[in-house]
Amino acid sequence: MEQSELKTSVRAAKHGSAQAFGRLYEHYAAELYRFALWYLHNASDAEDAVQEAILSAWRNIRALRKEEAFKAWLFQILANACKNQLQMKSSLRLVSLEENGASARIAYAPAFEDDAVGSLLGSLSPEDRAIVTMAVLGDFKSGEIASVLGMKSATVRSRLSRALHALREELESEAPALAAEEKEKKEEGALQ
Amino acid sequence: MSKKENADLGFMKEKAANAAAPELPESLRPQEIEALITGKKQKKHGRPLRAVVSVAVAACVLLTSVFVFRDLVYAPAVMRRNMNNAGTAIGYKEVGKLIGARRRVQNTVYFGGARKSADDSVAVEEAAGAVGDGAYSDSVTVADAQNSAAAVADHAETNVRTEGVLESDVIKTDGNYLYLLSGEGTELLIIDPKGAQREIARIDLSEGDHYRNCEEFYLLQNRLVILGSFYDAEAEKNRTSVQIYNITDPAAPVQTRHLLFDGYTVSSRVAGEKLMLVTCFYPMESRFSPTDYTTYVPSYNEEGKTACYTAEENLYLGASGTETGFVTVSLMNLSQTDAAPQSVSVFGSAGDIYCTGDALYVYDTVYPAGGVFFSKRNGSMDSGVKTGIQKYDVSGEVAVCTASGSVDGTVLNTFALDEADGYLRVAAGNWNENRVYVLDGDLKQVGVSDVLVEGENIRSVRFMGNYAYVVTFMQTDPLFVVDLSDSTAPKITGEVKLPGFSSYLHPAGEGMLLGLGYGGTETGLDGSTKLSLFDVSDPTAPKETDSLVFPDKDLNQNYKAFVTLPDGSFLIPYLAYEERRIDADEKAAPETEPASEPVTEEALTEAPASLPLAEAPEAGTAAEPDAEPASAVTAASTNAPVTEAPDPADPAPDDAEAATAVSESAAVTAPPDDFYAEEPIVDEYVWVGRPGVLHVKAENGRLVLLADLSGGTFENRWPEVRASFIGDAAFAVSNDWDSIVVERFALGSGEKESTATYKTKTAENGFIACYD
Repeated sequence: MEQSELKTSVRAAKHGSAQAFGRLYEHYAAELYRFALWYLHNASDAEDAVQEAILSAWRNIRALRKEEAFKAWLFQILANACKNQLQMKSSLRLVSLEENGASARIAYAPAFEDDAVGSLLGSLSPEDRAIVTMAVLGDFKSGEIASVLGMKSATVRSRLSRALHALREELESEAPALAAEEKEKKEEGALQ
Repeated sequence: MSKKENADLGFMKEKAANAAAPELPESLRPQEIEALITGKKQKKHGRPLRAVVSVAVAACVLLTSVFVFRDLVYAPAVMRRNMNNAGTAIGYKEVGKLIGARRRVQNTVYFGGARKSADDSVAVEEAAGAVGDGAYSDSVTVADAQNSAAAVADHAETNVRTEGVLESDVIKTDGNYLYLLSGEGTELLIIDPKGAQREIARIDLSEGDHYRNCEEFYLLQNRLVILGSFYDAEAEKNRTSVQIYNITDPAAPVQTRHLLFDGYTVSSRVAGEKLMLVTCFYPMESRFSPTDYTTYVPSYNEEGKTACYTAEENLYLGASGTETGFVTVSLMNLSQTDAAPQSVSVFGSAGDIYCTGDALYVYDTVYPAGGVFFSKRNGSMDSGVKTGIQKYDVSGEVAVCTASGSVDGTVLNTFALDEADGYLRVAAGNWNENRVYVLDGDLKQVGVSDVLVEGENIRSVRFMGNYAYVVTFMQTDPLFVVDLSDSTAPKITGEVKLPGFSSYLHPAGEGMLLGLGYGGTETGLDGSTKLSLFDVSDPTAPKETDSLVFPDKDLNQNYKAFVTLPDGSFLIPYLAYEERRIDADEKAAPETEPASEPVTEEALTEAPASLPLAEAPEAGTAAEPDAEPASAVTAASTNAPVTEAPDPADPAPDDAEAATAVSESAAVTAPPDDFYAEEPIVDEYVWVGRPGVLHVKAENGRLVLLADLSGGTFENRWPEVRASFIGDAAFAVSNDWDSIVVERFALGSGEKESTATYKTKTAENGFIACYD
């Protein structure tokens, strides 16, 4: 979709065209879903969050003033939806999310096929995951992340830089490790 | 964030971009989502109540909604109390019911394509015969006062649509000082541009977390009226802030009023002492309760007072039968310190406005039902799109909607509408066809021109006397002349085709028009900007008599940036840019950009060595020694009590954080900055921007470039450049997100006299980009 068409679609959606809104959604669907997957690290929660965000965006698109800001606006709504999803979960299950996060990596592995960063995020705390997701996928600035999560922006900055660094180290060290693991598995299989 | 951290972020983004897109679960496939929003399908994992709604119940809702919907469009007679062209006046309760019902309609059938009439304004428009009571006759005669002031003004005035009707801007001058709004709307600076360019005062508009995103301001006699637009997350609504400062003593501005209006700012004007503010407000669904009018009726409130909601007698149904939001026209007397704004709210939406002083036109694009058809060729809409226009009489204390109408196609901007002799002339169109329409006082069409051209979009319009000049563009730029002397039969009298197109047309003396726009060849644009001089004295044969093309200069195309000097010459600001290769040595050298020093120093003018604006070597030699920016620092320092007043006195919590962040990063010798403030320089090139101002005169059919006022350079920055003048001094003002650079030139010689840089606060908080 070209920039001009995007803008026109936003305009039309603001004036009630579901067709135009659908087209916009189609354009961003994969990005939105990945954002939610990263953030929540759970495929079914991500599905919920995207649905919730899309409905909310559709109902409130009249309040969007700058058409060119549609994407950022959409992701802010999604970030809020993800946050709510996480809060709802934690209040329902009374399970430590730290633990849950760690297990999520295994439980929802299929969603992260071919997505090394996404699957690695499971090793982070939910907050750090949220921060990294917003910065990397949503192009959020530290101040914006801070205001979604109710943190200080200095805290966001330091946590982000720590998390990014850790992720990068792991990614760079994991690549050979993974290869070795797979090789081992193959050998095992061969032996059996 | 340091370079290394930035690199980590970049690395991660690249990884993410390279990963395969996740496969969407069935419920998130586009067609499913479209069904979801059109109400054809319920949310899969929704709240339990919603999920169990059966098909039968859904069908019932659907039918009821259709019924309600019909009632809404053709306003029921019981509601009809005070018919005028704004539709029916309606009470709070009815409004609540209406919004509730309309929302239900929207969420079920409306967006699914059941909306019948493309232009539902027609029904109400036709029904609305009577004109408003028009009790206000004490018209504001602003033109005289302002015209005479403009005639003798020895300083820049904001270029406006209608002479005598003031418009807000980011830069103003009163002949003594320059008033500058920072790039992110966080601060307003008052600068004495003489000598060392001392900072006189600085108004902090960021207010900690409650960031107002100030956009533009008015400078009236001893008052500043600053307008901002922001999303109030707490109240879940868009808001417009109006702050008034008394600047009788410019060194000590005092806030006298601070009002908050519901809705985002559409536009505003000031005529005489009257502020006209147009806002657009949509109640958030999560807050809406049909039984509580405070959740849906637009209001304003003044700091420390209770909110005032638009009075019931000033609420109107409007022309549209489906709107759930309001356009509010508020009038406020600025000369009285306690005058309450008078608001009128009409169901509808607003794109922009055109104001003659006594009449205010609010227009917006009206889209047809069932979406718009996209032309494959250029992505524009082709058919069924209209522009709805509402006319308000704003000569009294309360705005009165007196007429409502529409034309086919979209309207480019405020220059595309023009009122003369009781008629409104409108240039409108779409990619298929463009025309000039003539509407009478009731906004009923009385005449229309032939199609100007097919397959082109309107790029600029100017009305002068009985003629309309319309520029369209596809590959070349035809300038059409339309004769409007017979309102019922406008006719195209002539045209001239040129490469490129003009995006703004300015009168340049008898029978002449100056076009500011883009250059090109026979096959399209070539990336250059261009000034054209048109001789339109013969309406049958307009011709371009001269032009100046600038291959590497980006002339500012904003009409407000266009400055007229008393002698009839013009100042046009630009940003020139080029790619520059950086040597390996230079790359290895330490960064010139310094770590931000403690907050107290931010208020001071800084030395050029520490600036983003590096002095060009030749300019340095030309500058007078005592006008060197270094002396600006001294001057500002000696005036420390004045300049530091706003900032250090009340450092916002975020500043404190920023300061901490600074000291932390400073310890590891990495320059502190926002995530995206610095792009990691991976290649060996930088963009070098050079702000400047063209001094141009149109004389005897020629365009004379009197001077090209330019000095400093920026690296990898794209500030907005604006021009101004006071007496014989011209200014190039480069406004970036974290600093303002003011360069002073002598108008006669074109020599650069001084430069000063003012660091400004950046907006860390708030959803600036999205909700403002």
